[in-house]
Amino acid sequence: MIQVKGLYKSIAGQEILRGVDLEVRTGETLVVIGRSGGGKSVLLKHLLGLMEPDAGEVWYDGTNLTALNEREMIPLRREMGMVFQNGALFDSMTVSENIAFPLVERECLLADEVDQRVARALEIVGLSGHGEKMPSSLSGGMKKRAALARAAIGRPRIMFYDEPTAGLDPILSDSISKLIARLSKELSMTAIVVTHDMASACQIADRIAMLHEGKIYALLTPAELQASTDPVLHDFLHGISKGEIL
Amino acid sequence: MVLGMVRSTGEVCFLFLDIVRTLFTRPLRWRQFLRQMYFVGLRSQTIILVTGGFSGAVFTAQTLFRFRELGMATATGPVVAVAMCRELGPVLCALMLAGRVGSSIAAELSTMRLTEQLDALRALAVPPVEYLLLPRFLAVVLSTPLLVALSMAIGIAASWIVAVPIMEVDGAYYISHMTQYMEPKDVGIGLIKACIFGLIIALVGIHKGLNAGQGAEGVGQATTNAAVHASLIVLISNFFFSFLLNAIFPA
Repeated sequence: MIQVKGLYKSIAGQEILRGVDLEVRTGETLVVIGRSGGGKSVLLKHLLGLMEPDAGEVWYDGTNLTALNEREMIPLRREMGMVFQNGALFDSMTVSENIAFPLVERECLLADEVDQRVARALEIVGLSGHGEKMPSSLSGGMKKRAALARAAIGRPRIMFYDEPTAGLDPILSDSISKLIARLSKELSMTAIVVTHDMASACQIADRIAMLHEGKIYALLTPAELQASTDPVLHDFLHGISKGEIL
Repeated sequence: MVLGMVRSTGEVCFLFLDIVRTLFTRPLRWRQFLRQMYFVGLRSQTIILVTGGFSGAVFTAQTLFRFRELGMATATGPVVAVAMCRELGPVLCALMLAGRVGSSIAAELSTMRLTEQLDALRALAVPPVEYLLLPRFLAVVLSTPLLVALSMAIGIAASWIVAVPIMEVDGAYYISHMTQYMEPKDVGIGLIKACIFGLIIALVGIHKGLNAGQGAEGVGQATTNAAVHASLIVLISNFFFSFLLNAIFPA
């Protein structure tokens, strides 16, 4: 479904991606793990065409995204949904208006139908009764759930999640992970999840890609990752520092 | 610094072309546009009324203090009216709008960029130029001439109040001389300038907002730069446009 070929990107003189090659299969949940500042979010933004690479290509169902301009990307982006790290809810709109935004913008639906779908989405993400609140009055977890509802309400074919459980308590992280797994299963969505929450990664992933030093270091199943004796994978999985910072 | 200015000028030109292309190729988002017209046009009226009114009043008083000694008190009317229409109205109004509207646009867009709301719009298949930039651009460009016209009118009205009831100039002569020496082209020149100043304020505000640095400092700098740069460009361009428009519409 998505193919990444030799992707390079530098930001402010620093090489972030150094030749990423990756293939995402239709219907799978691929989790991208890696150290903080390792370029996971940058990679995700390239997959959605939100950033232009210095070199390399991103192919989506036979279309080279890197050759398209902003307007040519619009039909493809309608098949995609993205949950940003901090939600990126529009702060001038209520939660309900945020969630309704893709429906209002893309689909010619009656107001009643939009309201029904928003109410259903709020119920699924556990935010019933919070629809009229402004994003500024929501907690971090609620923002992420509202963002998830906004991204998924248009029933995209592929969902991108940028650190969906970062900064949340373990219970909330688990509920978000279950929500992602449920959405992927019920709506047959392909999902690409960027995280360094290993519990969540092993819970939802069909395959896990490790981004290390700007390249895909390993691509394997959660079981293979758990059994791996590779020092880089082992240290990351078990959170072992080799004293690089101290 | 020179390279930076050349690059910024190029970016502003491309931004302008993109907005104009969107204006003619995509439907206008009326709800967004009207919301911006309300914020830029209606909500700016108070400061424009105060600015125009008190500028006209104080200019009239100072002019009268001198003209009265020369026995030319009734000449104050045309002097103030022409100055309000050609220079004071457009320039002071533009400076106030650069501070209020330009900086607000820059602050809003830079915050949206910082919090990934611009990326979220793009990810939801809605181009920011269509949803955010065009409504703001059109609202500023259309509101500025209307606000300048208001500023001119209130400035002239304040001038009459100061001159006639307060400083006891003969009202009939005052109005007569004003209408005799003030021409429709004086108003036209002011409104042409207003359109250009509106364009400058909108483009500078949008450009600074979209190119803000990271963090609170970046938002602060973008906001300040939008107001300061737009004000400077308005003042400098006003000098050249005054000569150009005077050549096109000679006094």
